[in-house]
Amino acid sequence: MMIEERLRDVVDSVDQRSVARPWSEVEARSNAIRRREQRAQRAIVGVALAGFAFALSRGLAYQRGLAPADALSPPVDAAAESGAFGRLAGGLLPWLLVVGPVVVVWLASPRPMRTPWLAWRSSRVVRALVCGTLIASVSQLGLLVAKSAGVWSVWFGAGVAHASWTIASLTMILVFVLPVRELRDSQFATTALLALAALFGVGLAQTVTTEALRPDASAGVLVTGVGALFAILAVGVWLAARFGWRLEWDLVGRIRDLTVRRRAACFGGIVAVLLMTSGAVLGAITVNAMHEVTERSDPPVVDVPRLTLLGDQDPPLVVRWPSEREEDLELRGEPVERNGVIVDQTPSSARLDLVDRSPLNGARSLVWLGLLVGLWATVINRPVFGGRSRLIIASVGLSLVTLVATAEWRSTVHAVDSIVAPPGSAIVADWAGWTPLTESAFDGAAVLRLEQPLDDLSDTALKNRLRSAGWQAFGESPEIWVTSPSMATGRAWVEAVTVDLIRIQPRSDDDDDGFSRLVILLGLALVALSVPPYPGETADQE
Amino acid sequence: MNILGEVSDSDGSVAASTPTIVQRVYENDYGRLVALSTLIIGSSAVAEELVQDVFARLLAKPHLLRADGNVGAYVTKAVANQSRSRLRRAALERRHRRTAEVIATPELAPIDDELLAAVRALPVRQRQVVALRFYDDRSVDQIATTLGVSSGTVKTHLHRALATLRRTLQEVPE
Repeated sequence: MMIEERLRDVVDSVDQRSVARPWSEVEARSNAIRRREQRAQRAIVGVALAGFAFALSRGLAYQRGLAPADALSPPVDAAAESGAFGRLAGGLLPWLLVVGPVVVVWLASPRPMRTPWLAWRSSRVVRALVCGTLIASVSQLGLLVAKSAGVWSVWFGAGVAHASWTIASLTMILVFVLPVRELRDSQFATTALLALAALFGVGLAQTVTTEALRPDASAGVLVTGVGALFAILAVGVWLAARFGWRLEWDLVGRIRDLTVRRRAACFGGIVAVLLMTSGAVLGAITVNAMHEVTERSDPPVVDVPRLTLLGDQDPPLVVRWPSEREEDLELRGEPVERNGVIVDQTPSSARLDLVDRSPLNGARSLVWLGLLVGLWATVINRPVFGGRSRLIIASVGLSLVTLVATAEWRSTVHAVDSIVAPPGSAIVADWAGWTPLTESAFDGAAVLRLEQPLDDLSDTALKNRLRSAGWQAFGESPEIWVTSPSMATGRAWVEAVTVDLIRIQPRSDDDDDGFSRLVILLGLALVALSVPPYPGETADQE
Repeated sequence: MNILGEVSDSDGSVAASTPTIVQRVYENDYGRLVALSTLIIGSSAVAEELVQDVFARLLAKPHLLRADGNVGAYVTKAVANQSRSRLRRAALERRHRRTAEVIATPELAPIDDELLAAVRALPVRQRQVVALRFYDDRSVDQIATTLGVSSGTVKTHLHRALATLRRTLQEVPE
């Protein structure tokens, strides 16, 4: 019998003996598929809405000057006015908005699966999100308690906050991507790549968002920033949906069909490296571009120091220094003329170094971590890679890490500014928890931290705040306030020149990464949801 | 023959009775679609699951149908592509799990084991072409349309597949 006839016989044989199952079974399976997708859609909508609500509340708080140093701690002024409950609610609400979507995703996840693959997919993601969120929640609640109990310092708080987020993120990643049995599963590599791309997207989104949400951001910047944010998210979701799964199955699989395994390996490596490179370059470009924009158009870090000259100047002259650079702020030495005003110099001064960014920036450290995880997942975990290819790609990856780290270091150094704080001066920082502002950096000058912008405080409110903090009006001028400890040393100088207010405004990128961390959670959730069913899943396995 | 092309309304949209039509296609073409998938996958039991799954998904997402509402053409293409995907997944599972526990579903009844084994040894694309060629005796152009490749590619794959089968089964061509 000829081949063609045998093939037709097989087709006819199978056709004749195959009895269609009842249509009701197909309908039941179809309904299961529909229900599952509806749940997933609801989860996505829930996550998106919760994220939007959180972002909106955060943005409003920022706009109103209520954004605290840690985005997930209560807006202090508002909470203080509403009492302990308000303080607690203010601290918990954002977290509920973060945890809520996770719970929604959890509830919307498919029921316990019958296949180990699906069990892995659902339980692993859920466990990762829950573990990470619980750790972060507990640590943040601890912070809240510490704040409420008065056991609080800026450095302690910032350190714990960063550590908690890092631990939580690490937990998520470790629980998510390090299942013992599935270490060699390709879905792991694909998911890690997606997570990596999501992290890059998060980095970009963070930068764009923080710029767009600045209080002084123009409408154009706001619209552009929000538009860019949505574009980034849309592209990320589209990439995940379009290429995430197919990257493994179609591209590598197709080439493997042609029995060119080495080419497949190289192709996969190239794709991974391209992803990393484009992410790193885009991130670096964006960060640098944002810094340039900030330098050109935004107020300096130390915004408009105001010198009030006592004596026969009436009204007092106000000298606005054009720059925050150290040489412009240095008050030592001979009298200098600034804008036509002779300013006597202080006999002594203290120097305050402002480092407005912690090297351990949560989102960026996550990007680095994601880079390493993606690199590891792609290179080390790919059985098709040979030793030499692995070495080359690892070198490229490490170079990229170095590149990102260098860019990060540059931005950190870039943000270091110095001012000179004359002893006895009343230095009022705008923000309560501004991390790097430390009393130890002052020599004789006292610091009062206010928890909302000075612009939002009336003169009376400011004076009351100063008075309640132990500050005293100096001499006959109600504009000059000094603290008791510094009065003795500062008196002589204060009689001549007093810096009555140094307005210190945090840079926008000094802002906490709360929103970006939420975006990270959203990204992880979206990645988890976008991972298509693993092989073997059918509708009736739900 | 199935009911290809009889589904759309005059305006080209999918008719309101799509579920009914899908059900008719299911009842009419189930066996042949299973046969198509069997030739590609090599297992009629897995093929039956796959075909049912394709119909379930189509029922859940009727918008997957193009405007012409050609259910038969869509289902044929979906079965061919899903069979191919299933094979790839099986290969990847086998590669990563390092066990041979992939799609080892027993046959419902012996078919032509020798022929099926020979077909199973073909590359996936060649399997698809062979299966579509002997499923309803489709023309080269029809196969090309279904798979989204050129006619020349179909001819090449078909020629190579048959040559390989003849060589494997040691058949002397006429």
